[in-house]
Amino acid sequence: MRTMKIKSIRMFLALLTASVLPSLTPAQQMESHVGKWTGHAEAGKQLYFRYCWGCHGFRGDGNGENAPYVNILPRNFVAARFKCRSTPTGTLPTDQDLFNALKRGFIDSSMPSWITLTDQNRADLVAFIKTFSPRWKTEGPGEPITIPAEPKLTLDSIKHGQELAQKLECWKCHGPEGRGDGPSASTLTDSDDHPIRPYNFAAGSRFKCGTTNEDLYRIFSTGLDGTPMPSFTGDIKPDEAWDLVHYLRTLQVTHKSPELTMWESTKEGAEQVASRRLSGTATGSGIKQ
Amino acid sequence: MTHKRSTKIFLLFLLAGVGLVLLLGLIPRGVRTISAAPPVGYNITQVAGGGTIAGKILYTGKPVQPKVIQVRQDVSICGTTKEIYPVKVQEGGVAEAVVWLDDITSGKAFSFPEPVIDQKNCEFVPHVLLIQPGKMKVLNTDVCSHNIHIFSSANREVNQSSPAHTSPVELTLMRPDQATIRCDIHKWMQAWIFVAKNPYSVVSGAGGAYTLADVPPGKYQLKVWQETLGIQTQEVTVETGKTTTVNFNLGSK
Repeated sequence: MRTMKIKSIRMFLALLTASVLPSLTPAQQMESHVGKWTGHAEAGKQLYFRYCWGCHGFRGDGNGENAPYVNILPRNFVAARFKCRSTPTGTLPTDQDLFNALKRGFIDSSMPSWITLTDQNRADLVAFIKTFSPRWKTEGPGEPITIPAEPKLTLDSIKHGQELAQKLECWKCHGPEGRGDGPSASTLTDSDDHPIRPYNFAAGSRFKCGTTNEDLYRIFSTGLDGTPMPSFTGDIKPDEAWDLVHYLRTLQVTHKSPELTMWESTKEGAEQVASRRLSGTATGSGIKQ
Repeated sequence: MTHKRSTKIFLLFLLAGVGLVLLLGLIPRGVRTISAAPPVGYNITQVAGGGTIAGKILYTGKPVQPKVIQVRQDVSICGTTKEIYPVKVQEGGVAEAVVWLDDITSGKAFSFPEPVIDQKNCEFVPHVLLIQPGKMKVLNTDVCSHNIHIFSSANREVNQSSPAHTSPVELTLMRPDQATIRCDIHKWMQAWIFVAKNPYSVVSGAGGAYTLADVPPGKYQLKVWQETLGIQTQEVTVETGKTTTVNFNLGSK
């Protein structure tokens, strides 16, 4: 009789514990939706504390034990400020944006491309990353910007892009040759007052937020939040923005893009490209000011 | 018999405890983690027989030395040097400090100057802009590019380009805060947007003088904020038709 009673009490307690515990950790119920994948924070938590916390920290604030030793600091998920977004400045990125960042990694930083994980893993991690800031509960992600289809590449497009770059004064930070050595370059800081370098176009083919022309369009349209790179939405018309993309590609003098090939086929372009064949790193280190 | 009873009592306590834990778990926890401030906890009413608060923001600290910046770009627009004063002292008073009643919940309507800040000669004008929660505009009357970078603990961080000859940039700041506005291209360019809680907020003028009129009689917390000297609070009692004088001393020795 007594053992039965104790057993029933035990059962009762076990059931209670099981029902109470999940409600004590509501943040873990966060989900992400990327394509056909649904990520769960509970699963992402396991992955986070295996792969991510060494740099991004126990609390997701970017203060992991490796953080002091990396050059470009780990992202602070508590601040919920993200560079690579398809959404306007000041808004949260979409799940897809975060997912892409995990898959792609960040060039010239210590953040690798997480190709060893499955898509489901990455979706789970995205869901968990969103538990670090209350912003994900109070506001949804921004409305992604619309990017019109890329028009055909022409010489006029490149030339107009060059005029536009001059007018918008991209050179103030990125330098007249796009090498990240403009007059403001040495004074730039990120939103936490750490020094930061503008992108050096001459160093390679990849950008921080992707490799395609569309990625480049998105970068200057939405801006990179948390850095001095502002959003140019409103200052550039959509068709003009493609001209700017075409011109900016010609600044990547070590990358054989269709834009560079076309530009080099003209006398003016060939001269400019020849004078720009100087080496450097994508983060623009070694700038002399 | 006693054994059985103690078991019963034990069970009762156990159940009560478990029930309590269960109840606690049921409280929606999301509510506690969200710290979104209400837009304005303030009602506009007719003020009859209001009083006035007036006074001066004084400064008796060490003489203020400006930080001198050598300008190396856009010299024709910005000039060759910029003098940045951490505190603007005129005749012993602090200008460009904000004075406000912190805990007033009803009273007169907002009547602040137009919420517009300009970028002129690579400086933000005015240096401290007082706005009511909502929209504001940023102009660029320079012939060079700037970027408008808003830093605020209560509002979203926004970074928008502002090239020359473009239309004004419209910003929305909904939550009361002292937001910083910066230009990353010209590092010295920094100003403040004070998003007020209520219309009983004012920027101190020449000599540190300020006036808050049409205040409904009562006891209030009067606060003053200056960008480098921080916040001070004093209690003030307002009486019908009378002027109460309250002076602050920021940066005393």
